[in-house]
Order: sequence, then structure tokens, then C-alpha cells
Amino acid sequence: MASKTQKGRGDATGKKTIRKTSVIKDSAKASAKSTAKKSAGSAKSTTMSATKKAAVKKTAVKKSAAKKTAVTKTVKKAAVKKTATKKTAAKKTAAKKTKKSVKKSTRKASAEVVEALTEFSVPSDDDSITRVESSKYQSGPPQIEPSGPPPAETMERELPQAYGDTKLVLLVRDPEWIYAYWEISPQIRHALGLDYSDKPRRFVMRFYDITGVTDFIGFNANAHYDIEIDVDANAWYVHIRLPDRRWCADLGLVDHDDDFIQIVRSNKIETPANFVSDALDEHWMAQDEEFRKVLGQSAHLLESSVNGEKRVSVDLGGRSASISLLPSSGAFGGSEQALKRR
Amino acid sequence: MPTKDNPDGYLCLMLHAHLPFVRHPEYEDSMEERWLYEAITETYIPLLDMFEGLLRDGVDFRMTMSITPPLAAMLTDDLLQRRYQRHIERLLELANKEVKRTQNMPEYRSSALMYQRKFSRARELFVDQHGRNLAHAFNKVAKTGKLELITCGATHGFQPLLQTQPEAVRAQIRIARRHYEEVFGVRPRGIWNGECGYFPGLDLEMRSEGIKFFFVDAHAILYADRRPKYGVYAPVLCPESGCAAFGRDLETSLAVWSADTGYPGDPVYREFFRDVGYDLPFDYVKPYIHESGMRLSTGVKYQRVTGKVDLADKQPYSPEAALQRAADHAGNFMFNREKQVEWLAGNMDRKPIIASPYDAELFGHWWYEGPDFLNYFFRKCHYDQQRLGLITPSEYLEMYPVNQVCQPTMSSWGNKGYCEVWLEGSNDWIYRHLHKAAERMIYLARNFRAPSDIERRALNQAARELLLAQSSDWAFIMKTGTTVEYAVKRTKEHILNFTDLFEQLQKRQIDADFVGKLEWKNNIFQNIDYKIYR
Repeated sequence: MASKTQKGRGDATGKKTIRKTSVIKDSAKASAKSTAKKSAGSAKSTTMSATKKAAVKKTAVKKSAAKKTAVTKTVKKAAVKKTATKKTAAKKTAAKKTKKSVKKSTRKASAEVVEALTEFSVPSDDDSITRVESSKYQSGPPQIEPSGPPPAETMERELPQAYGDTKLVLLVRDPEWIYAYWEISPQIRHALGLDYSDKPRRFVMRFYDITGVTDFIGFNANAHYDIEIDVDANAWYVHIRLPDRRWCADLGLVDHDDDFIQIVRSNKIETPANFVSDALDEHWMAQDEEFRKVLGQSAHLLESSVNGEKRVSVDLGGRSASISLLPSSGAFGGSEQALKRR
Repeated sequence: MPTKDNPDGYLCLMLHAHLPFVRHPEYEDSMEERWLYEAITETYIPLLDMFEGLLRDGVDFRMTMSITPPLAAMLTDDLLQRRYQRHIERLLELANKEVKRTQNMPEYRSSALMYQRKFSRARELFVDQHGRNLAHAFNKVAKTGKLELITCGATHGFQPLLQTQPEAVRAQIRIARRHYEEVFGVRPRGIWNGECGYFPGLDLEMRSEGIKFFFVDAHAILYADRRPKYGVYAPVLCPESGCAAFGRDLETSLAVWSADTGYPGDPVYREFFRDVGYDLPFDYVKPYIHESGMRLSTGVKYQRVTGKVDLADKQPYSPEAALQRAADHAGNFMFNREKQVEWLAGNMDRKPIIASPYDAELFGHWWYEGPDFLNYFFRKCHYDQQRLGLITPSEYLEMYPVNQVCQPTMSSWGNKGYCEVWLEGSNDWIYRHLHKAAERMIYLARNFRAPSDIERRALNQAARELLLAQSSDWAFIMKTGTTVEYAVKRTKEHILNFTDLFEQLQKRQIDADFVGKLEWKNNIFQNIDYKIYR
């Protein structure tokens, strides 16, 4: 725990903060020495200069003007709305019919529900909602200035550039992107000669795929990918591309012999899955408190033991259900076979 | 055939009522406090009025509502209660003047009368009927069982980006739970996590506070580790905690939310961006705009959306036509939900639940006729059909205690579904400071085992400053570009206050005046206990 702070000192270099974006080109290739790509779209400067803020404001004003024009589109759409509803209704009846013909295969039905849902439930890029939400923080059309000058004690005080730590922190932005921020203490920068070395070496972030690795100790990762970064940057967006994986990274140097010198290791993170799972096994359980209530009310309580696991049958709304007390391999409502727990 | 007691399926309407803590005792007239006053006049009071009307008329309804801790804190704050009374009384004065001014202006006359009537009703409800305490007023409705009040993270922190310090995540939930108990007198059964933000493991923290259910966006469930049998039309239980996650239905969301395709964009509805605060002569509106003379929205607006025209060409608003359209839209919404549950019921071996969460402020503040739409919707549902039932999450879980076990994925309801709204070029710089402050708070909590009185006060205030810095609203505003200076200022101010307190505690030299001033200014969570961060 840092008990000593070095406020306002920032990077020893005092250089302007740089943030860049990296894309791993071939994610399948382990240890791909990808060169850092500077995506113009995402590369932005950290410093909130006055001019930049002003620019942001202007676009915002235009945006709100645009908002209203966008809203007007609805007129036409409202007219179309009814036909659209009919269409969906028709589609739904069709789906219903098909369902009947497949007998009572709940598995099939469930797949249909999920598929029908996926169609319009996938997160999309539509910021019209964000625009509406932001209306809450407005007292009307123009940009509202803050109420008078800030209190004297906080006026013109800036947050420190760094806290004198040496650390690397990863944050998941979405299934494919990771945001990394770091700082290296002046002492370590100095010891490594980060600011004046003329040796041919690269400053890199090494990402380890540690999915399923319980005790990661540095060399037992599934794969690793190097991202070359700017020595003066203190944050980076990395297009890691792989959802549903667990990650950890090192900040370090790669010298001319390709040896990796670790400076600091990050926290561990998980990129979320962005696809419908293939795991069709169903586990069912009750929230424990309500569960007891269900047991108490049920007249047809049967207890049996399957593989040493306590199981009960409960009458639930006319259907008999076999529920395992542990959330494993419960059979209820059409689960034909119980697969192993992941 | 479905009946009232046995409908095909259920709709769970969920309104998320939230504003960041914008109490500014240091200013006589604060711009940001107006966010609260506008929301009270246009959203909270109309909703309350609607609930009370439904109860009076014997209309059976169900609604779920999160009143976030900062909002509850402001609604129960004496200073803000007095200031709102002053605000609404001034507004009523303006409305009275407007009724006179529009005497010979038939196109504005009925709107002017509407404002006079509504503001006078708001004043009556707020001052005379509920003694200025809206939190208690909502709680009274909740006690009938028709409204389920749930909580939210202490300061609406966006938990996926705070998870580097698990203690900070825990504190957001624990402080929220305790505050809910202080305000509403019972434990919350559910939670709306700020921005619908979820990550695997958050449910364990909810569980340890006795919270039974929460909401996630649709993809959190659809992309769960096991295929959800019913999609988002039944809750799933998190494997370790057993907490129930209700997935957002996007069809219903877009119908109301979308600025482009939702109901609120209809040309007869009231236009948000025109206001007498800008349109009328300066001397006339001066008493009702900002004390500095800066023009701003008063809430008296006479134009309708009209169509694709400039603000200047917007046509006069007709309250009667707008009300009629709200009734039509309520009918359309109900019809579509009936079709939806009918289809879902045919594909499921239990009754589906459609969970439709919205920002509460959308109804009334953005979509002026939103509360009327809800009112019509509840009444139509009650009298005109039997296929669709209304339900709260607690009731559904009682009906179906056994649910599929799936691990939902990290997600939010922000644009693109994850963290990008709160983590992008305009706002990503805040996280190194938020995380460092959280790390220091944990350090303080662990190291101050027997603090002196002033040290304890400094520790508690440090926790308040950290929490206020963590409000997701600041990052959101930076991204959307509405009141960026204010959001940046608030973030820096709370981090700097925190850092000063931290350093004073480190040196064991507390500036009592400084602590006292912060306690007076940032007085949220008066009974906070810093030891939560241990």
C-alpha cells in the first residue's frame, strides 16, 4: 500500500500523456509480435484542453438539434407501426404452428425462443437511447455552464498525473477490447533507463491467455501476445479480439535477444462471451428461502437419493419436477439428459 | 381462455428513478439542483399522483421502481425540500401570469391553463398532502403491494469498472441497502445496478445484503454460459449466489425509449427544447430564470414536436390532442404486449414475464405525456383485457421459485451493451483516480482501528467523497457532452477532497474546519460507517 504520494509529479519525463490503440492482427498465432497500430478513430489525447472541450460542446449542440430532426422520422414510422405489428403477429403464429408439429419438444421450443430473441436482443450501436437519457441532465436547449466559479480550495487544482506507483490495470471495455492504464514510478523508470536508453529494445504489454489456468505463474499461459506500446503513453486500448477468455498482462521490455524483462503484472480479467452458448444442459434450483416454502406446501414430497445426491420431487403448478438440492444435473421441464457441469 | 387470475403472461414495468447528488448549499440558485426540481414537477409528482389515483379508483396495477440512494437522500433533505417548495411556488406564479398573458391567444390558452392546474396540483401534493417528503409518499404506495421499491448502488457507481477493488463494489451495495432501510424502513428485495451494469460475482455481494433479484440487459442472459431455456422471458439464477436475474426485453424498450422510433417522437407531443425561458422578453421571465440572468428552461413550453422543422417553426401544443395520442399509444402498447405474451405462452411451459425497464425521468421530463401514457395503460389493462397480467419481480419469484441456473455475462444497458459509454476518450482518465482513491480508502479503513472523534469524522467524510466521485453520471455526461464542465468539476472536486482527507489522516493532522465544511456541503449518507471498506 502506498503511504507516500508524489502529487502532481506525474511521469518523470513530464511528457504529455499519449494514449493509443492496438490491434492484434493474428490472434490465433501465439506470441504474435504485432506492431502497434494507431487507429486514428480511437487515438485520443488525455489532456482535456480548453479548445477540445469547446469542440465537444459544439458538436453536442448540433447533436441536440439533430435529435429533434431524428425524432420527426417517427411520424412515418408510426404509420408503419401497425403493419409491422401485424407482420410480427403473423410470424409468431407461423412459429407457433411449427412448434405444434414438433410435438412437445421443449428443447426445440427453447431454441426457437432464444433464436427469435437473439434477432433483436443483440446489443447494437444505436445511441438514440443515450441521447434521450442525457436529457435528464439538461435544463433546456443550450449548454448550461456550471454554477459560478468552483470553491476557492478546489479552483485550478488538477489531479496528479501519477501516484508514484508501478502498476498495470486492465479493464474490459467489451468482448473484444481491453483498456489498460499504467504507471511506472520514477525510480523504476530510472533504473530501467526508460527515458534515455538508446539500446534497441521494445516497450511492450504482453497479454497472457489464462483461460482455465488456475495458478498462473508466468509461463503456463495458453498463449501470449505482445503489443508494442509507446514508452511515453500511460494508457492504451487493445483490440484483443477474443471474447469469453481470461486474461492477464505484463508490462515489460523486450531486448535485442528477444528476452522479456517484466516490469509489473496486471490484475486478471475476463472478456465476456458474445454468442449464444452451445451448452444445452439445464440446471434448475430454487432460491433457498422460497425453496423451503415450496417444500412445506407440497403435498407430494418424495425424497430419494441419486448418486448420493439428495433429490426431491415437488409438485409445481400441476407439473411434477425433480429438483436437485445442489444446482447440478436437475431434470425439470424437458431436460433429456444432464450433461456434466462445466 | 385467459382470465384475470390466469393470464397468458406478465409484464413487469420497471422505472429507474435516479439523479446524481446535486445538492449545492453553497449557492442560492444552483443550475444543477434544477435537474431535481424539474424531475419532481414533471416525473415524480405526476407518477405519485397517478399511483394515488389508481388506488383511489380501485384499478389493480403493478409497478417496480428503483429510487436510488442519492435521489432518496435528496428527496428527504430538508434544504432541498424547502428549496423545491420555493421553486414550485415561483413556477405557479409564472403560470398565473401566463394565464393572463395568453387571454387573447387561443392557440396557447389551454396550455397555459394546463400549467396553472398542474403546478398548483404539484404544490398541493408536495406541501399539503405529503409534508414535502416524496420518499415517504412513494413508500405509502409501496405498502399496498402494488408498487415494489428497489434500491441501486449507493451513488450509482458503474460496478463493472469499479471491480478492481471488490471492497468498493461491496460498499456501493451495502451502503445502499442500509440507506434504503433508513428511508423505507424495510430491506430491499431487489436492486437495479447503475446503468444495468453487471459482472459475474456482483451477485455474491447482492446476496450478502439479502437482495434476491436484479435486472440485466438481454444479452447478459442470452449469452450466459448455458443456453437460457426461456430466453429473457423468465429469470435465471446465478450459480453461486442464487440471485435471480431478470433480462430486459428490447422490443418494449425501444417502443418507448428510442428518440428515433419510439412513441415520444410523435408530432403532437410536447417539444422539449422550446421554452418561455428563452422565448419571452428578458424582463418578463427574469424572476424565473437563473439569478445570474442566464436564460434557461422554466418548464412552461407551448410547442409540439411538429415534425422535421427548425425549433423556430414548431407549432402550438394542444394538451387535448396530446392526451388523446397518449391514450392511443397506451392501447397500441397493450395490444402489442398481449400479442407478445400470447406468442411466448405458446412456446413456453410456464407463464412468461416481460421485463421492461426505463429511466423514470423519461416519463414526464423527456416525454411529457409519459405519465398519462402509463395511467391510460394501467387502466386499459385493468378494464379492457385479461391476457396480460402485471407483476412485480418478487411476485413472479413466489409464483416460480424454481428457475434455470445460468451465469449471466458482464454487460450494461449502455450503447453497444458493455462499458464503452463510460470508458472512452472523454472519460477514461477518471478510473486511475477512482481506483487509487478506493485503494486508499480500504487502507484507511484497515489502519484506523481506534480513531479519535475527529478522525472518525474525517474517515466517514472520505468515504462520502469517494462514493460521490464514483457516480456513473459524471462519466456519462462527459461522453454525451451536455454539462461536461460540471461533470469534470465534480469528479475532480471529490477526488481532491478525498486526497486531502487521506493526507491529513496519514499525518494525523486533521483540519477540523475543512472536515466540517465538507460535512455541511456533501452531506449524503449521514450515518455512513467507513469500516464498511475493511
